[in-house]
Amino acid sequence: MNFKLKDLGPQLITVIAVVLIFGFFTYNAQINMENRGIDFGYGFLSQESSFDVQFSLIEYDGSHSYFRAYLVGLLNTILVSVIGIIIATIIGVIVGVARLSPNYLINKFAAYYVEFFRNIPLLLQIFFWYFAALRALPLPQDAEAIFGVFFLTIKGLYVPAFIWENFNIFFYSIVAAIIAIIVIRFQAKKLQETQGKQIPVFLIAIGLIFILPLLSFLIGGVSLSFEIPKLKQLAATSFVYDGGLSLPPELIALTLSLSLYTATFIAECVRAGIQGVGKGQKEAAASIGLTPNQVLKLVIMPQALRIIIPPTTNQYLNLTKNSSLAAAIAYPDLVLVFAGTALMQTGKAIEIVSITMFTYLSLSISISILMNWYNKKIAIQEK
Amino acid sequence: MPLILGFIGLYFIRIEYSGIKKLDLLNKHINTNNFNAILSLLIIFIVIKSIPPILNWFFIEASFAGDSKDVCSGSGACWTYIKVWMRRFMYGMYPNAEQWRINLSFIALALLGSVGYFATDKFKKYLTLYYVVIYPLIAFLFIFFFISGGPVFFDFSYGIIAAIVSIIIGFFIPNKFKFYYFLIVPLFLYILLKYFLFFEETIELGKLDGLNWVETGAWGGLSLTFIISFFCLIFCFPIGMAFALGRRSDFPLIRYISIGFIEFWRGVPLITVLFMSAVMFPMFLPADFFIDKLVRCIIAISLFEAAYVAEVIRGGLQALPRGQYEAAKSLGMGYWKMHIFVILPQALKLVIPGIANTFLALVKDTPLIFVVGLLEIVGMLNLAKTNPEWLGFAMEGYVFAAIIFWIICYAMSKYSYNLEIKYKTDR
Repeated sequence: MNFKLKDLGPQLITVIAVVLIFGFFTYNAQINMENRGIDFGYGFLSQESSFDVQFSLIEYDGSHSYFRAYLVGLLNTILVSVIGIIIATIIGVIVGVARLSPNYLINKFAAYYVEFFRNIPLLLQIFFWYFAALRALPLPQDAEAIFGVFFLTIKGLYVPAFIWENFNIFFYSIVAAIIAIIVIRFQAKKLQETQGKQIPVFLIAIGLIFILPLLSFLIGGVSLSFEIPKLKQLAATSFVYDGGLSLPPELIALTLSLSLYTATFIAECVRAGIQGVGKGQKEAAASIGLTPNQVLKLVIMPQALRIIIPPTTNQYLNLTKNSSLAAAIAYPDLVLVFAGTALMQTGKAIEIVSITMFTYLSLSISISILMNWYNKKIAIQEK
Repeated sequence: MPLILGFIGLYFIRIEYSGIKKLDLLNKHINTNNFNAILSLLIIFIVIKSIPPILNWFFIEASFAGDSKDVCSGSGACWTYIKVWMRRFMYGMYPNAEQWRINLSFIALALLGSVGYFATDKFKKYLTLYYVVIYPLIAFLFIFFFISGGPVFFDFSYGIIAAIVSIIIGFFIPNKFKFYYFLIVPLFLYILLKYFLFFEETIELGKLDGLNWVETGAWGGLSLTFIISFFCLIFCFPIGMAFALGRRSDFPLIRYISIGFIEFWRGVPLITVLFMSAVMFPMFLPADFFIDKLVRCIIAISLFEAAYVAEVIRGGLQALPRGQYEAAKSLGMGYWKMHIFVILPQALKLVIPGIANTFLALVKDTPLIFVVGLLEIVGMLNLAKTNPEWLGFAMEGYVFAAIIFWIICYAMSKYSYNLEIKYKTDR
């Protein structure tokens, strides 16, 4: 081993400096906590929380523990992030492709969209949608039904709830369909490589994914009915919708602004990715007789994806982290429920802030590991 | 109905080549095939449908005059609201009589900042020193004495003074000891300044005769946005650069510490960092240690953005060919000399767009300081919105702030684009 005393000096000093700073902080924290009579520990997580959360995916009320409150917040954060990522990807890809369109109007429209939304702070956009735009919606009693079943009101969006019977049979049928599609795809690829035959995999896949669940309805005894929200009068002037699923306006404002904002960045990534594929690639592919669809699917997209994915991963991470702005409009996400309400009640600043930060850290790291794995999978296999 | 008619019309005028210039242009740009024709028509339709109501709301039915809510009875926007609240949106709760201080400071700083444009060739070589050391110091003194007029930054100011003094002395230290020097001397100077030299005096130093002390809780509005962005820009850049170099260092321990720092800040949202600076950070300091919450905010945002700057700069460092390092080394340059004169100028040139994006993100992140109770322009809007006399004008306020932020960010991105072109050198 190539050991040099000269190299040791700077490293040792840096480490000592870091250790000293941390030691200084811990020492002070201990003294401060002693003075204020706070004890350090994570035992409070199992205590009764005794506060309520407006919107939660799992059963929760004041009698549950702080840990349960943490889970409620975490699930709400994940919900917003997942919906936001899906919508942002759809808008982003469409806008990114539109920016390369030969159509002058579409091109300019997409460019203005990107320039407009990316230069306004996200927090301002959230406030705008929540306090200005969604407040202009009608009251529940005045709301008009969209397609007869959706109600968009100032108190949120009401959609019909699904009521399933024998849901697990339906679920198994879908799983079976997906497995069958994977097997068929695998076989088709093998067939094409060995015998050169092509099977219309896409048509078969569509057929399977519809027919198998349909069979489960006809034979398996699955039935689906909708519960349509109904207007209910609470008091003389107060109405609510009963039944169905309700999405609170906070969730709508948050997903809308997060996805509109992040979509501009994804659009730029997509545009850069497609432009990054050389023109010669397209011409070469066309010259060996591929159809325009095949050119896009087999030549352009695989190369463009390699350029698109790393920056897009960053945008997904940003969206997840930005979802913490929910606290500003009182959407009960991790920051509001845990670092807000629970912190106020217990006063355990160090524990709660560190748990919150650690949670976001692990969310970020898991997204980036997932995307790194995908990125590696589609990367060029160099020999 | 007009959509269908328009589609049929476009279908019939789609000819290969007609010789009429306008028609050919139309066909080429918006009417290449059926799908494009439909999309074009849809966009034209949306624009025609949405422009008149927006214009109506903005100008035609909007009310500009007056200074009470009564004039805003029409269906248009109520710009009177903005007019009445303008001072609050610009200066926050800063006392009206003292606002000339902010104006004067900003004008002075803008003039001093533009020195670079007027400097003659003789002084050009000192510009870097001026912008890196002297200008931030002047800006700091302005804010320290003039806008605050009281003991806001004083614990912080020792740090600044210590850092600047040690940088100046640092020029005369031989390269061999520079690393040790910069690790020890600033800290030593800081302790010396704080505990031994002028402890009592500097408290008095913060108070100028004839100026009232305005505590940072009263600062706000757009001016606070500028102050925070300005300081965070200044601080996050050198910190980020240090960690970028640390991440590419040959010493494994320094490398791992840098990686840990960068990945930690990049993995957490800014709002939790601000939470930490608000509720957790005071626990980590001695009880008698006073740090103003604005300063805590600036430190938190600077560290947070520094991690992003570090990653951007690392990208630039990695993009440089190895030959540059080897050439510099073969000329007998040491680590610092090589980086300052050869590597960093080239690497920074490469990452101008990335750094500009980080700075833009910083400016867009400043509204988040509402977490610690500081109200810049978006925070002031939310406050004004809940005023019982002015209920119901949320839309006007947000549109106003959006326009301001849009102009700032758009100007910054255009400026960075110009810089990129100006410094582009072909290899």
